[in-house]
Amino acid sequence: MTENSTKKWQDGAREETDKISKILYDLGFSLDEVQPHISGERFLMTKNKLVLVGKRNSDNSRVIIKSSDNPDGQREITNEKKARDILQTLSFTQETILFPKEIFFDKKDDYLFWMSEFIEQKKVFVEYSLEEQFFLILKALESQEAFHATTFEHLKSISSVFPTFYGREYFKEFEIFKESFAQNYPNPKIQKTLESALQIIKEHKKEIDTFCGYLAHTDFVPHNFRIKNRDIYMLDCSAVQFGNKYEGWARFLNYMVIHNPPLEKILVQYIKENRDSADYINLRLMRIYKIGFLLQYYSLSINKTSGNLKKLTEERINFWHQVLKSIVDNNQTDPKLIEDYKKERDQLRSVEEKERQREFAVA
Amino acid sequence: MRILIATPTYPPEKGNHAEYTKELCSVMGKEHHLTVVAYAIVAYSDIETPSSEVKVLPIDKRRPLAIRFIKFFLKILKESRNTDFIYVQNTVAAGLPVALANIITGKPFVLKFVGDEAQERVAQSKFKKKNFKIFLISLIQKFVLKRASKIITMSECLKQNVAKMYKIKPENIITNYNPPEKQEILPFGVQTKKHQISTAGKITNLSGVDISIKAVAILKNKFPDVKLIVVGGGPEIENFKKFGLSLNLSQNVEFLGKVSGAEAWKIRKESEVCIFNLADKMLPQRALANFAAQTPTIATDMPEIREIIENEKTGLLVKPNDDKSLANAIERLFTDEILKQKIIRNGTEALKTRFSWNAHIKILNDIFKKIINSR
Repeated sequence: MTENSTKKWQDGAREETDKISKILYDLGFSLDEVQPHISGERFLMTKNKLVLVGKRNSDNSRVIIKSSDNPDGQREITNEKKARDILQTLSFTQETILFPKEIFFDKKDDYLFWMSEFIEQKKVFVEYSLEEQFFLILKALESQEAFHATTFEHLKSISSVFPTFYGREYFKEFEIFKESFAQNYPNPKIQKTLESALQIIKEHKKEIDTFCGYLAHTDFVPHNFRIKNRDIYMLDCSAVQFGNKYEGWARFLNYMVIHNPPLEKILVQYIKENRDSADYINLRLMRIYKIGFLLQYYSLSINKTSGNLKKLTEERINFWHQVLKSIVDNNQTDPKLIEDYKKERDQLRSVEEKERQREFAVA
Repeated sequence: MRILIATPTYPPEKGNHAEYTKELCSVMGKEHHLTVVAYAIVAYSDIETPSSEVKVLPIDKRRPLAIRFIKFFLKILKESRNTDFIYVQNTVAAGLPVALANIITGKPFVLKFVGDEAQERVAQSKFKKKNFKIFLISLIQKFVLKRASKIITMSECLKQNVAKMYKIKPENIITNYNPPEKQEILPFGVQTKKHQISTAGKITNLSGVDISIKAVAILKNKFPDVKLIVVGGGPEIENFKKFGLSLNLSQNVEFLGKVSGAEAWKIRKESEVCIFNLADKMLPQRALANFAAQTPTIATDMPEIREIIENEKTGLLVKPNDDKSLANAIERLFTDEILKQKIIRNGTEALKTRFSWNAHIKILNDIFKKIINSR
């Protein structure tokens, strides 16, 4: 996507937002001026639905609005609602996952709307002390681990709504990541690392199986949850599946490589010291898998970007390749590599994207 | 001895049966020939075993109930031929196939009874409804208990309940306390917080949290910085929060809700005193964790608690629903360092002796030997 097409996408999103704004007015809601979910690099991720921020006019309470007039987008919203509803009624766990309260779900003028309360948080995750972050995230991950579908009956109750992943599926997906990467961004060095990573996953398919059947939020990072009174509210149920126990952990730890390396380090240390060696192997395997996904994602983005964003995408590919290598070799990522990457990233990010990131970094 | 262990769960699944079985294998595997038949989430994987002497045979849980039950039963039938007896970890999922195999082969079995599964299901059910399934579980439980050569319970109180409810001869039931669970290793140092008290468990109207709050109100006069940390979720949490506020204790009582295992351990370790107001199933494990954390315990004087905590030796016992006695006991531990250290020392000693893996295995070995000798 060139700069022109980026602008075209953003203009289109704005036009659609205006249309939605009028419908929402009749429903008693209004949209905020600033919409962080449709600015900056968001166009690379958003497909057929819009995520908007607004308020209910009757009491000025803030709301999150997911809307779409596209059949695929509407299906995505409906499936996410189904996933959220079923997670609140599963009988095989005593644990509960907190979600923002649903306010509205219906169609109006060809658009499907799903609105839920905006969880006000006093501070964002990164503003907590390292110790607080450690305990908060451990609590959230342990809650997810309690959703363990082990029997035929458990699996039956979730299989119509959630994808289920075992060793074979992770291996196949990684193979696709590798092939797709090779097509979009041919690079022999990275290809070699991806091949080694694929072999490791292949060799450990059985171990991955043993740790499957767990609820996993595949994009478990701070902008997908909000914290209120020490409770963690999960956002974006579309990213929930039943798979390896450590998939959610892996996504979170990989994210923290850049955003909070000390937290990443103590969480890994915690697993090593308190759980079995098989747990640690699964964590490593899932981190490898998630980086495979990221590399494929960035290789696909290359053709949609231009200028500084293209350069930044290349930097990202190189950076994640280095992190992948260190995890494959079971080493800690070099702190200098992380710092250098962050400097480069900040230089290449657009003003609008920096603004969007700031929006996420405030409560 | 050649022992066949039948269990409903095995690591990486969590829970008492799974972790206990694995630890038991690593301790007993050195002197006995152990085979474990376990319901597991794998179809073909090799389950990690604690030693090469231990064989773990998984039955895939992802098959329908009837199929996995039959497979479990057939596996028990086959494996029991080469073993001296069977040690079963629960009454229904593992106990029933073992009891049926016992009818065919006559192979004796020892049943570890950790709690009434029918009652637990009713208590845990999101719908709180007693139905046919629960009735069936009760019947199965009775059948399995009657066929067991020996029954092991985790406490004397449970032993008496089982004997009374299921009309089992008391001499067939033996109490063997569960050894302590593994303690958490934290990546941070933990310092004791002066005048911090903690209590943990499900927050219901029977949890006694209101008594603890009242005790804090009394203590606040002498110790303005006293703080009660309440860990756990439950239906009464909002009411107790309001109750604390009504006594002007907003700075002295904090409700944390559910926390991770690591945080629960940290709070336990940094508290000067832990309080138990309710005798629930988890009480023995929590009391042992307090011994391990070297945090003195004050508990309500009830038969279940007296089994674990000896008054003035390994903790302090107070009258039920008596906030003044509770406040007085807390004050004693805040001010009497000699008493505090004595309780910590005795708790550590109890962990090494009465509640250790060695003590647990010794009782198990005695039971197992008697079963073999009686054949």
